[in-house]
Order: sequence, then structure tokens, then C-alpha cells
Amino acid sequence: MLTRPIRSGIYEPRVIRPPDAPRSSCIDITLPPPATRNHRASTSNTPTAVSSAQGAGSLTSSQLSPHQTVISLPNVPFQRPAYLEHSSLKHLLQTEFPPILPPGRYGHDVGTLDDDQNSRDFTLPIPRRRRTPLIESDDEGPFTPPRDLPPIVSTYPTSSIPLSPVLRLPTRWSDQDRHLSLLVSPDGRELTFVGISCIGDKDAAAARVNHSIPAACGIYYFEVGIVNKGQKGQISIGFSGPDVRLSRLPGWEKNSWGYHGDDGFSFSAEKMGSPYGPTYSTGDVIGCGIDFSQHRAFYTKNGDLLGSVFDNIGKDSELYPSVGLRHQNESVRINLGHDPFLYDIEDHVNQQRSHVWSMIQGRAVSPSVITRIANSHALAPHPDPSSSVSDTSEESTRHQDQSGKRMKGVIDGLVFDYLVHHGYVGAARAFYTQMRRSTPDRGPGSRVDAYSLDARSNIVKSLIAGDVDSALNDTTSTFPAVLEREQGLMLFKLRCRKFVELMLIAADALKRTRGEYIDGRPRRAPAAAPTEPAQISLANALTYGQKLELEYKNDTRPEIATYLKRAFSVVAYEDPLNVPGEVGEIAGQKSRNILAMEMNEAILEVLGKPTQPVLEYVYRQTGACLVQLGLMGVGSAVFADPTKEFFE
Amino acid sequence: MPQKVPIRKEEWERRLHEVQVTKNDLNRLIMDYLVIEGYKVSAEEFSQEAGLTPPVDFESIEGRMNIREALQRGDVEDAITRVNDLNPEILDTNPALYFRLQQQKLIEYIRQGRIAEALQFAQEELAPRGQENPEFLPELENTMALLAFESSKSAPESISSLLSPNQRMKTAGEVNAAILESFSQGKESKLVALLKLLCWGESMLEERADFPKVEFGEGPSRR
Repeated sequence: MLTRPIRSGIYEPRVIRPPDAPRSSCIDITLPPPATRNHRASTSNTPTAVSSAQGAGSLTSSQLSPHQTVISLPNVPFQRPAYLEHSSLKHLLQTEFPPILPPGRYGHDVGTLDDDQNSRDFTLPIPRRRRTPLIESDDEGPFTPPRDLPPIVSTYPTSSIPLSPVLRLPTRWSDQDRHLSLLVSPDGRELTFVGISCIGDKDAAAARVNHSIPAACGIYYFEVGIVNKGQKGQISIGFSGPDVRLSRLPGWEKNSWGYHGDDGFSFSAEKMGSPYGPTYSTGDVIGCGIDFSQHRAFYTKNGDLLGSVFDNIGKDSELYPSVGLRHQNESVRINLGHDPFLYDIEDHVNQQRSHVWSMIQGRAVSPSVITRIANSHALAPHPDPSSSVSDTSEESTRHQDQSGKRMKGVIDGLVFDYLVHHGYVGAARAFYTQMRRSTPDRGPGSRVDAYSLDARSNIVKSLIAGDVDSALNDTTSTFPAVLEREQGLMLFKLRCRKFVELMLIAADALKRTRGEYIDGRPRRAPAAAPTEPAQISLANALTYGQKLELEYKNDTRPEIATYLKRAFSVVAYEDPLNVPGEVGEIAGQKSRNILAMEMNEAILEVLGKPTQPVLEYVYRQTGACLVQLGLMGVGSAVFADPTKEFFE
Repeated sequence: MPQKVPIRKEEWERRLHEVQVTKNDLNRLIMDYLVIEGYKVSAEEFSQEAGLTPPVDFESIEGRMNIREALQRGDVEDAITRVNDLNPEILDTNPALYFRLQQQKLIEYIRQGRIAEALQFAQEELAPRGQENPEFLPELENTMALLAFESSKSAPESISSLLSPNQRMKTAGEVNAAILESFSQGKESKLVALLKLLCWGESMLEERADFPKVEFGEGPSRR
């Protein structure tokens, strides 16, 4: 079955011809390519050679000239197939194609990054000081630390072992891991039997692809087009472990599985096999998938699902897509995501993902987790009075009701803790009142004024508004310890911010005197010499800045120097707020918000409170478990993606 | 049983650290909870303070809460009227929910000792529905058993619990969920979904690894 006509004359050998190159200058290569052309494209990166073949069914002309072993296309790098986007660990799954950044909200790519320095536009999963963005809500994107600001405190020792390794996806047939009777085409996709046909029913010639399948795919899928079924079509398509003999068909040996073309049987480490699907032959495209969330496999034929097969596959050993052939001229072409698939694998994966999610959501929240949250530091002083009651209840229905009620109380506490933590005063008060009304006998005690909510919130609000003086005064009178901690680091930061604010005032004054504003709107006017108010505010700012510099220039802490340098970078611009890039950011609202959040945490720390709300810990613990499970090969975990389920 | 993989504390803390989440994300989880649980005033305040656009208009939260309160004080008739005012399709398309409300009404009659009315109501309203939908019959029989025991203390728990406030909450919860669903809102808050995910994740990992279960109030330290 051909999905597109052969372009050139029927018996004409294929030709290397970049699609855009003028025909006249094109050198036709009709002989086996020299060794230099035979190298792997992972390094050659030849975008002009992007496959002219479309679809897995696009068989090449070798189908029509089986003796022709000259293969044209060089190995072409390809993007991670779209169906893998359903895995929460997709960013770790890589082909040799340079990753494109950043496609999604968390488009990051672990493997190519080593530190914060080159990562302004996408998030790093690498340890950083900040875990949440300090922006209030204006920004969907994750927070990235400013470029020149090294982490203030080196929080974690850097480990030499990467925590989240890059997981290589298969991209071609292996040049080494194949039976000698098999020839791999230079593009790495076609496999042809060139030796002497196997006789009897013992021998065969198998090949594996270049990388094993990462279980973190959740589901992995590839398609194999039968270019030439040879005389008998004794072809096996499936999987095998790294140590399975290459002189056997997949499915005959332990740790290998296969679906055979001549009889349609499926083989799972057995000689006899069992009836499974239709036979297949020249022109057919056989799809082959493995589902790590169920440890089952499935096949498709020409885009139609044949059904689930094999139990416990992929549990114990890593597996490779593998094909076995037995007779001369048998030839197959693999599609590992090079071309669009015939089968709607994306939909298949999506369904399995929802299935896993419903399975998880069908479970009850365990009492022990409820208890852990109820006992968490922030909520601990107010034990839930009902917590002991539910344990003594004999009736299960009652027990359920009780624990449902208890859970509501605990979640209410979680929400309240969050509102208080971040200083959402109005919401916290309203919530407290409403919470008491709906469940009067439980929930946290009267703690609206715990955590110095009002005072803290005022300071935070002042900083967000750019009013450093008020914040500084309030902090001095209410939380003096905040200014003293870490040898006055917070005080220093506040003063730097004060300097930036003064510069902004000066810039604003300059704009006004130049008449750039009329009723708040910019006007096109000839620049005039700065007049007095502008000069005065500029002088003010500079005086403050000089004092600041004088005072801290002997401080040897590296973060002090960096911070100071950053603050002074705004001096170079008349209108720092509108400078694109870093300076604009230093001057702008984002920096105010960051400082406000640091201040909030510093106050909480001084008060002896956790520096993060319980909810954030809960979320992180959940996320960490899922990533760990995914890396350990638990396929269902990569389909349980909180980001996708909650935030998209 | 394969041996469990040990995960060191520092390693786990880095893992926690790497989890991608923003304050805006968490704000949205909170907002979702406030809306679904019907904390209207809090939702309004929060939306203002956090600069979040609420996912629904606040009036619909209020409507939902009035229905819940009506059920919690035992005024089933008022609740039914209000549900129909909000969206008549909710009860039309959901016979099980309508049955649940009628059952609650019967319970309230019995609670108030209006036995004659209870009997009449059961025969005229509930029994025909039970015939149409046999799956309702066990519930109906259970409820009718209340009449047999009346206020005696010897009733089995499964029957006497129908008179408990929890039964009202349960009915109110089901109605709330149905209304949310009719607005194509999730019926369970994302916070609950998160806790379920946490339970599943930790229990799966427990089978395979020894890892620190952080106390949520302490968590990873900053330095």
C-alpha cells in the first residue's frame, strides 16, 4: 500500500536531492554513499534534507527494486513526537533534535542547562533559591532569578549526579545491535535482509533500535512499514531486551515479544504463539505500542487498533523496539516519530491518561494524610476536636461522614493558612467568619491576628506600592529583628530599593518638566533643558546613592556588590522603567513584588513561622513523588500530571 | 519483593525544590476551593487582593449557598424551588437527584413527627418513582423503615443515620455538585483532587522507595 506515488521513474535509482536545491546543480548519487555520507545525522544537522517521505506508509522505491540496496536519505533528526506531550516528564524525553524552547507554560529543558545564567526565558528545574514567583498574579510564567544576581544563599549542595537525567528516545536502527544479515540504510530507518535466507524454524536475524524505551513515556509507539515481505513474510515486529539473541525472532526468546506477519500470531517468549491479529505483508504498516501504565502492549494495522496483548511486559528489563526477518530481500522501514503516524496515537494516549486520572480520583483521601496536614506546624496549635471521634465510630457510613467533615475542616485550615501566610488580609478575615459559620465546632482557632497579619500585610503592601520609607518605618517599629538578620541584608536591600525609587521619581520629574505629559498622556514636544524640580530630585537620588555606596563598599559579601551594581544600573537611563530587559525589570513592579515577598518571608521567619504555606509543601511533596515514580518506571505516574489537570 | 530504593533527605529536598509551581497557580487552587465550597465573600475579597479573575460570577455562588442552607435547616421545598429557579433542567435531567430530594423531604416529615403526611407523601410521590426506577427501591425501603422504628434507639445505624445532620449535608453536597456540573464546573475542588493525588503518589512510592515524608509545616529548609 503506497500512500504517495513514487516520484521518479519506476526503476530509476533514488537520488539524494535536497528539496529546495536547483535540479541542475544537484549531484545524483546512485552508488552506495561513501563513508562520509554515512555518518549519523545527530551531528550533521541537515535541515534541507528533511524527509520528503510523508507518513509511515510512504515506502521507498526499494519496494519496487528489491535488489537495489542504495538508499538515499541521510539520517534526519526529528522532534519529539506529539503524543509524548501527555507525559509529565516530557521535558526529559529527547530525540537528537535540538529541543525547541519553550513550547508550554513550563517549557524547560533540563538536559541542556547547567545553571541559572542562561535561562531567563524558561524555568529551571535546577535548584534555585526561589521556588515560587514573587509576582502577585500578573504573570503565568514561572519565576526566574535575575541574571546577574547569584543565589543569595547557596541552598543546596550541587550533586554530581543529575537528579533528572535526559532520557534518550530511539531515533534509528542501531548500527551495532543487529544481525549481520541485516543491512541498515544510511538514514537509519530501513532494514533489509541481505544474507542467505534462514532454513528451518530456528534461525532468524533481528535488530534493535539505538536507545531503549524510557518508561517515562507512559506509552511508547512506533510504526513499521513492510517494504518487501520477501517470499514468506516471516517477519516479527515487537520488543526485546538488550541481551536477547539477535539470531532469533522477537517473541521466541525470554524477554522478547513479537507479532508475526505470516500467521498473525503473537509470541511472548514462546515457540508456539497464540492467534492475535491478521497477517500482514508488503505495503502494510504495523504499529506497535507499549503501555507502561498497564504493562501491556498493543498493535495497529494500517491505522486500526488490533487490541491489547502481552501481560507484564516491560516490568523487569529495559526494552527496545525490535524487528526480526528470515529471508532474503525482506525489508521494513521504521517510523519512530520521523513522520506522522497512521494510527491516532495521541487520542489513544489521551484516553489512557484520563483513565489513570479517574482511577486516582476515585480513591479516598487517606486519614493519615489528613492527620499529617492537620498536625502540620501552622495548624498544630488547634487540634481538630473531631479527629479522635472518627476513630471510635464503628459504623462505616458514619465513619465516612465523619472523615468527610473532618477533611473539610482540614482543607479549610489549609486555605486559611495560605491566606494568612501571604497576607491576604481581607480574604483571610472573610474566610474566617464564613468558616466559623459553616463548621462552628472546628477549624483553626481565632488566629486571624496570629502571624501579625495586619502589620505584616501593611509592610508588604507598602513595598508593592514602592513606598520604602513606610515599610522601613513599620519594620523598624514592629519587627526590628528582620532588619538585623543576616548582618542587615534585608535593610540593605530595602535601601537599594529606596535608591531605585528615588531614581524613578527623578525620571518622572524629568518627563514632566519636558512636557512629555499632558493630562497624563505623552506629548511630542521638543526636549527642553531639565528644570529645577527635576534637577533637585535627581540630585537627591544621587546623594542617597553615593551614601549607600560609601557605606557598603567595604562589605565583602558578593551578593552585596551584585545587588548594588544592579541598583545602580538604572542611573544610566533617563527612563529606566521603559528600558527593555534587565534594567526595566530592576526598576519595575516585578522587583517591588519580589522584595515584598522576601520581606514577608523574612518576617515570618523572625516570628518563628514556616516560610511557606502548608499548601505549597503539600503540592511540592505531591509533585516530587510523581516525578520520582516516573523516573523509576511507573508509567501511570507520568499520566498523573497536576500541572495539566489543575492549571491548563 | 524487590528491595526499596533509599532516597536521601538532601536528594528529596532537591526534588521538592524542582517542582514547578507558581504563586499564581496556588492562588487559583485557593480560588477554586472558595468558589466550589461557596465562600462567596471570601472569594470576592480574594479576587480583589490577589488580582484574580473569578471563574464564575459571585451571584451564582450565593444562589448555590442559599440552596445548601435551605437543605441544612430541613426546608426541602424551598431548596427545590430555588434549584428550579436557578436552572429547571437540573432536576428534570437528573431523576436520582430529584429522588434524593424527595427522600430528604420524607425524612424531614418523619423527623417532625408528621407521620400521616409522611405516609401520604411516600405513597403518592415516592412509591411511583421507585416503580419507574427500581434502583431507588432499597433507599426507599430504608427510609420507610424509619417509620417502623420511629424514634426508638434500637434502630440499626444505617437507618437511624438518615435522621442525622450528616444526611442533610450529604444531600446538600449532592445538589451542590449537580448544580456545579450544570455550570460545567468541576464538582469537586481541585484541593481535594490534589490530596487524592498526594495519597496515591505517596502510597505508590512507598512500595518502591524509602523517602522522607516531610512534615508539611517544616518542609525543606531554606539553608
